[in-house]
Amino acid sequence: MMNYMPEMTFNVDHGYLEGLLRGFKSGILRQNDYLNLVQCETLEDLKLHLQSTDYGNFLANEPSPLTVSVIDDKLKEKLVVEFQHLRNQCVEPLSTFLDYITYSYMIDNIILLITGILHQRPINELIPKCHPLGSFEQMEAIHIASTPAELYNAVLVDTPIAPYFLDCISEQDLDEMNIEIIRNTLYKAYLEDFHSFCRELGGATAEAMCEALAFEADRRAFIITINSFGTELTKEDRAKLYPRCGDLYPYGLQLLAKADDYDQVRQVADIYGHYKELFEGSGTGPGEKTLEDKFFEQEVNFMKNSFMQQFQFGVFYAYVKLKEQENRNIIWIAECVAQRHRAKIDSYIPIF
Amino acid sequence: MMTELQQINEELDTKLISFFETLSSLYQEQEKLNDQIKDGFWNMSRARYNMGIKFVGIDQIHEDNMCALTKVKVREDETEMFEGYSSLHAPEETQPVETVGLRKRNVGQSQEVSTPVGDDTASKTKKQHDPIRWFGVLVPPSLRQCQNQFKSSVETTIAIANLKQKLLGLKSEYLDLQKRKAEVASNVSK
Repeated sequence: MMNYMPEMTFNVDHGYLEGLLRGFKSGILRQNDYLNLVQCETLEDLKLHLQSTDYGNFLANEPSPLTVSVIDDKLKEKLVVEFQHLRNQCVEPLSTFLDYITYSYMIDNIILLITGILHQRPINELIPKCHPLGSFEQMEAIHIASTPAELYNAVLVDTPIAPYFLDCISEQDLDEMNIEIIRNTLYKAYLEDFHSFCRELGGATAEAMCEALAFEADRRAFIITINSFGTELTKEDRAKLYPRCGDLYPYGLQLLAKADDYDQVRQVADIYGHYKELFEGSGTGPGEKTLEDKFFEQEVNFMKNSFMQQFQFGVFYAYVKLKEQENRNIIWIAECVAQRHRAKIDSYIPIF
Repeated sequence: MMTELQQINEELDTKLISFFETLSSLYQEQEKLNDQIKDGFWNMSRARYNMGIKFVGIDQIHEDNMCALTKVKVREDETEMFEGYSSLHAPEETQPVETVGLRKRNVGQSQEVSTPVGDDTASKTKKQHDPIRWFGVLVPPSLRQCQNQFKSSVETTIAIANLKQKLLGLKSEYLDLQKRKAEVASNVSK
């Protein structure tokens, strides 16, 4: 009988953490907070307004003048402290779930490091810029890698994302094109793996997470296709980068692989009702939202819906994603304030 | 039949009018430059919003590989003194032209700062590729727009330099004409 009602036993292992997380969630900035932030004239004003939110005095010890990059680092620190507390307190299967969330940051860090090394930046400048949630022991060894094969053998083989790299191993020198391909191939393998893990967990977690991850997969397929127009990425190579755990698999992905311009991508989107709506409202004119904004908005909606269900792990993923969006919003407003270019300061995405 | 004085007066008037016309086009170009650079940085912020803040920054800049994509030819005795040309396609053939022209340093724009090309890069095939590739191959449209805006700001800068040069020329011609007018007026009164 216990198997049919997982809600009865969820709180034994995970109740404290879900409760804590819902408390964190209530500290996410609201529309009023954003309205205050948008009226700031300087970054000092912004710091003042953020003091009255959950962030408190997080910028108190920073030397003036404040820069946007310092604000970004401190915003991230708060999320990292909260996440690491959750990770330290949890047990299986939540611990594996939270680890999966960190793998995307690991992939970002690897790409940041390889690109920096390719461009002759010193490794000790690059390491502090990595996202703390995605750090792994072998990060400092990355500078010895000049081909994907060396990268795998020297650095990645002992990390949790080693299995995602198997398709990328080659002896060619690392350059911008194959770094881009590595990044997208790693992410594709990660997304598909995460999706099947959530499906195995079953229950409400699978319901919340599989929908969100399917959307992420489709969004990546669309964005990769649109950004690849005018570059040397061939259609065959592009098709190998599409994650297969979304609604577009298999027919939509086949059509996208053949698309040559934005209109053809739009025709593919028109086949799927929910994507048709996203493409319809978007554009680059003055009052319009770009397609990427609409994707971010849709992601925020999925994440908010995840909180409607209890006794499932999707809320942890949703919290991390919503905090990421909040960071993006605050940094966007800070950049507009710092550059005194307030034209589209309102194009942040309000969460609650 | 016009006296010399009347002729000089007419020339003075035309010079003055063209001076003010050039001045107003200079103001327009300066405003255009202002908007282009402002929008360029704005689009860069937008690209950071989409790609992540750490992915559009100093860590992606390849300083050793930087060389000017646009150079400026200075011609002393022509009407348009500065002319920009793209040095993208012929690294070997630009050698003879460089002895004639001057390399203009654009310190304002981060993506096209010119540095003297070192001896070691001359031996490799100078693969002058698009600097936007430093940020990845699949970059969002906002980053491409940012690059286009900075590229057009280079052209606007060259136009501003030409206009300023023209203004200086017109001003000195005007002063010369005034001197001549004073001479002619003093001759007439004798």
